[in-house]
Amino acid sequence: MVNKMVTDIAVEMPTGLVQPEQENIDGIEYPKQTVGTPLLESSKMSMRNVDVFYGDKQAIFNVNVDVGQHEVIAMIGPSGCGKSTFLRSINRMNDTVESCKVTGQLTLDGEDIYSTKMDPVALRARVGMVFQKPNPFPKSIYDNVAYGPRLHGLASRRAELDEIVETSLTRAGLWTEAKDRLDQPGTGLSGGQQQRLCIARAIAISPEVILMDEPCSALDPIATAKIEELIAELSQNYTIAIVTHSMQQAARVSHRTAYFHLGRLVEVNETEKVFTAPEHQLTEAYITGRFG
Amino acid sequence: MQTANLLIVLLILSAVAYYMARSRSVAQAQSLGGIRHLHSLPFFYGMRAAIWCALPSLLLLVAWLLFDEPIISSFLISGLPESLQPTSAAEHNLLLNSIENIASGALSAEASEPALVAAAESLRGLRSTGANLVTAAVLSLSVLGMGWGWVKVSPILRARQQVERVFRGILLSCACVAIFTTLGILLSVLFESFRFFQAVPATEFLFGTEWSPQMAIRSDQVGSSGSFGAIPLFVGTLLISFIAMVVAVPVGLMSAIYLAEYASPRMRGFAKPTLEVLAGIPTVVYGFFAALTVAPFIRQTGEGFGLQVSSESALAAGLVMGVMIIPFISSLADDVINAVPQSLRDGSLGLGATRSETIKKVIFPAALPGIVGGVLLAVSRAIGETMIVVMAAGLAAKMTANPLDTVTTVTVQIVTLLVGDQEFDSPKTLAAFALGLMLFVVTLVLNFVALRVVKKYREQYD
Repeated sequence: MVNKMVTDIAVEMPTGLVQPEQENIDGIEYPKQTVGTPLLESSKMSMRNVDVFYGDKQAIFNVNVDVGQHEVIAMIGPSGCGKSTFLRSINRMNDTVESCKVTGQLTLDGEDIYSTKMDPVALRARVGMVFQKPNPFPKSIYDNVAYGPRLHGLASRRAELDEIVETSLTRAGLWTEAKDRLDQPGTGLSGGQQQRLCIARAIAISPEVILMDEPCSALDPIATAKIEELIAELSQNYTIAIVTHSMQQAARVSHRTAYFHLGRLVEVNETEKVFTAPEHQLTEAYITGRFG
Repeated sequence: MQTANLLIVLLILSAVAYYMARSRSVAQAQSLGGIRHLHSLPFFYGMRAAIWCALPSLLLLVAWLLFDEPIISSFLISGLPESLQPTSAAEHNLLLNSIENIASGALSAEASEPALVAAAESLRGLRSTGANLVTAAVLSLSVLGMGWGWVKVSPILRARQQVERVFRGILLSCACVAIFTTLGILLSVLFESFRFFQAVPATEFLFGTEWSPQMAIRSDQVGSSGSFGAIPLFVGTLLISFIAMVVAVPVGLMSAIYLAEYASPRMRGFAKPTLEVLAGIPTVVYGFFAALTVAPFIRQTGEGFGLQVSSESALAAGLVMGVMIIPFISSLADDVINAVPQSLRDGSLGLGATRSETIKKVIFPAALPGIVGGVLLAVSRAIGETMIVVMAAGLAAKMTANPLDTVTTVTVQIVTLLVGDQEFDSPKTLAAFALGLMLFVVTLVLNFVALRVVKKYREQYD
């Protein structure tokens, strides 16, 4: 999939990214606005002027970015740069954090995510999430996958539910390993299998977007490779936003890469471009390992 | 010397031993070129000497305090003339008592048998000699120990290991106190129950349905044989516990869920301690609250509906007991619910579950083993609760499931059996021990089941 990128800045790009008084690295200044191609002509989700605060502390500064249909966008950056916070703002998981406040405009298919009309519960059914640490419920493998479909009434008969479970597990690449032990607890699986179970659980409710928050950081290299393959397959049907600490992973799985630095979105470009010819010095400094 | 004074002297002696051995080790170290040339730190040399000084003499003292009476009394009895030799244990005790009383002056010496007066005289003599002997033995033993501790100080002495071994022994004996106490209580209850079951067959006790423990002291009294069927008592206990759990489990659980999942930090900071204040109210206060406020209220309300309510109803006792147990359940359940990892909540919310769906389908099942364990512990508390039922439940042993009727419980009967003048060879009194044993067995089984349930679910959910 290739989303057409907006190359001329005709799409009006809100300014004000730079906070010149803020600290910077090696004397490199933040760009006036996010460099590269953060905005798309047609997008699945779009974020404009997003600020996120924890109490008095601002974690995200004026982020503007689009996510295209069936695109994998990777978010990279040093620890504490706000990429996870930003991800959790997209499906309003931050609502559960009392002190967290999100401003700006975030839309999914043109609908305002933070409008009072949007039900966060319905939103999260459309924007699924896979977490850093595999968190299967203390239930059987079957019940783990069937959890979402049961909640949302996606199956009226047992056979339908069975089918959803099988398809989801197959798509998550877990069916052959799990089909004989569907009634055993999901917590008894290995770490990598647990994470694939969580992915199966997320796709069982047919979300439109899947958010992944460092899904491989608790896994060994083989399990990681499997998840990465899975992401590539899933991108045919889903829009995926993945936060990762591993630049190699971002390079392997994503179409576009967004580089966050201390709460600012510095650069968004095609992944290949980011890792071969980054536009901004901060991105270059990070991917060449000068900090991070 | 009095025991208290002796203890103070021992303390001073061991402090002296500590300083002497410590400074000796420091002095030895100095000639070698520093403390690091010693095997142990000077503290341990000092402690070793102090232990040698205090421990053996303390043991001797304790042994004397434990065994002096039997030794002295056997001396006394054997010194009595043939005509006065006791024939039974009771007579033996009586004899010792009167000698004791003459010796202390409570019984006048003129009015007593001359042989007993002589015995009292020798009792006083024996006591003072014994005390003097022991004082001398204890003091010399502790001085010897002090000397031994001082002489043995040398850079190669493994003082630390020895001191640590002694301290480990002290820790072990502290742990044993609780275990041996339990064992002792259990054995005494078992023994007395055994005596009870010699008088009353166990089948009658376990399966009998009539409880009226009145025993005649003389054979011509009315109601000369009591009946000891414990079933009505257990029915009453279970009825009241059931009512208590019906109140406490839902209220406790729901307040725990509110506190853990919905309450704002401010609300939680206020509500949780307040709820726990309930647990601090003495049960006797709950008791008169039940007897004086709740029971009359239930009676009036019931009569308003045309129901026959006795003034001491199972309902009143059960309701108040339930209120008493609420904080117990809510605080346990709150802890368990809080222990469910946040990642499970996130996972469920991330799938588009509402908060209540998350609680019902993820958090509650994950917390269930802990909750079940807490509830079972609460049940065994309810069964063993005494003060509320003594004040608010009745004394009449009735087999009924009607909560408006008066019932009695095992604990109430134990109290009434043991209050007042007792003879400890009557089945009436011994029945209290049998009931206690039953109660102990029931709560033990409950606790055992609770632990098993918790373990089983834990295997399933971790």
